[in-house]
Amino acid sequence: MKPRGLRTFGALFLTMCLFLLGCDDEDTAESGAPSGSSQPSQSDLDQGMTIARQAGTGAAIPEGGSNSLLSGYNDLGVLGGGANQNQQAFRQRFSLSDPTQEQLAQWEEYDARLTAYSNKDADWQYPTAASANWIGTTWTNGDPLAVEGTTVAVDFNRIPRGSLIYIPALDMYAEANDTGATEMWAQSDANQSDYGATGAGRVDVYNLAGDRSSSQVEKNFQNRVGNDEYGQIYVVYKGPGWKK
Amino acid sequence: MMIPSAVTTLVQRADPQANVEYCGSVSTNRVDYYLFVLTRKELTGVVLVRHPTGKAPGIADADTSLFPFRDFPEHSVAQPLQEAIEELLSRRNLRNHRPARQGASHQTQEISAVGRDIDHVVYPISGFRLRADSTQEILRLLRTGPTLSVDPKNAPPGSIIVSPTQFYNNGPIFLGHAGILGSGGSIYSADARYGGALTKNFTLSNWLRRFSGTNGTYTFVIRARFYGNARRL
Repeated sequence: MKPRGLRTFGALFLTMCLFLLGCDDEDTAESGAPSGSSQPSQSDLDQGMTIARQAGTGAAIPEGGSNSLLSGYNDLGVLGGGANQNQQAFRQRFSLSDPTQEQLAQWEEYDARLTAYSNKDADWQYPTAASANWIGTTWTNGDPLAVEGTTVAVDFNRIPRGSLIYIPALDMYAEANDTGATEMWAQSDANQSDYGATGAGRVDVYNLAGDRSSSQVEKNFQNRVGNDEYGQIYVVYKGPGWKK
Repeated sequence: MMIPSAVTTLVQRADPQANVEYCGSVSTNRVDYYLFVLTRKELTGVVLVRHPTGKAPGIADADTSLFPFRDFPEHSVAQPLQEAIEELLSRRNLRNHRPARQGASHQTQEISAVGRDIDHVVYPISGFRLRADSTQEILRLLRTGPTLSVDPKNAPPGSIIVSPTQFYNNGPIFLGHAGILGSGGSIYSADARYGGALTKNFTLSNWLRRFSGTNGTYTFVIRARFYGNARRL
């Protein structure tokens, strides 16, 4: 422990140094803008640039690296290897961003039967019976079937073809399309709650199975959206007009 | 203690998009308090539900941090209640293997690193430090500190941006956030998806879209050399 007198001297010395530094600072008048000033000084702005650079240096996720590291709440990797990139490209192309609470309040919310389908399903057809439905849809890669991360199949009796929908459980926007099997769904699901007055019916989300079996895809999907396959969707825009 | 369904329903309805985690309860003579952690993408926060005997539950407090602890109607229970909540949150963090990444052990009760991440960058450069992870408190400190309030749309790089948490007694809860403006309209802030690490996770435009309508958005330039220990640039 330092003797008390030395500590006092040290404190006085430090105070004097700070005072002298302040007196010697030729930018003092500029940086210490008077109270009530609404404009930052050049020193304020310079310091801000240093802070901004340091924030970029210290950030855990480097610039441009966020997509590859996404996990958890808006990770669509469960839908297939390219799902995150496809969703990102879809959002960029149509200037879509995470919805605000206000937007969610304005959009029409429906109960929906969230299910998964994949290219490993036994009834998967190629070319699909619904190929004609894909003409004029939002992607341009020429795939007549589906794209993981952007493709969902809906019942057009419930949601107009080409509508923009948002699935909160996946944080995913998609264009409402069809696999050609919705007539069959409508019959088999007719007594389900999602076919009630506030129901959107079945919303079948496409998965690229990769090495997984059809049942593994379904299990992964259910784990991702919750064990209960009933969920909600929002219809952001009815019909294809939002693409113009 | 069983959680009354009215309490869980209240929290779930208060932010339907959030993941809700129950942390425990504290009982006083006439009031039970229930503590939850909400996580929604980048954001995480704490909700304290107050449930008086024989009455409907209500949200007593919600923010990215409950500290500094605000006063409650039952003033006499404020201190023990705070200590019990600190204990519940510390236990929760230990369970989730999420000890404070930096700094002292007193931060183990914190859920969000929203202010700590800002301090880590700003303090060595400007000498200004928030020492708070609550968005309401961060806004108060910025308003009363060595700062200059600027229009968010024209805020220069290095400004601190904050949208304070807003909530109503019966919901909804709009969790807030705070971060640092980078160059080119980017924002760096604590990100719950990465254990609270400082992450380039917003742009100014999507921050404004997300928070301005519900939380309000405020930006502040930190005055240079206010404390006399900023580096000469």
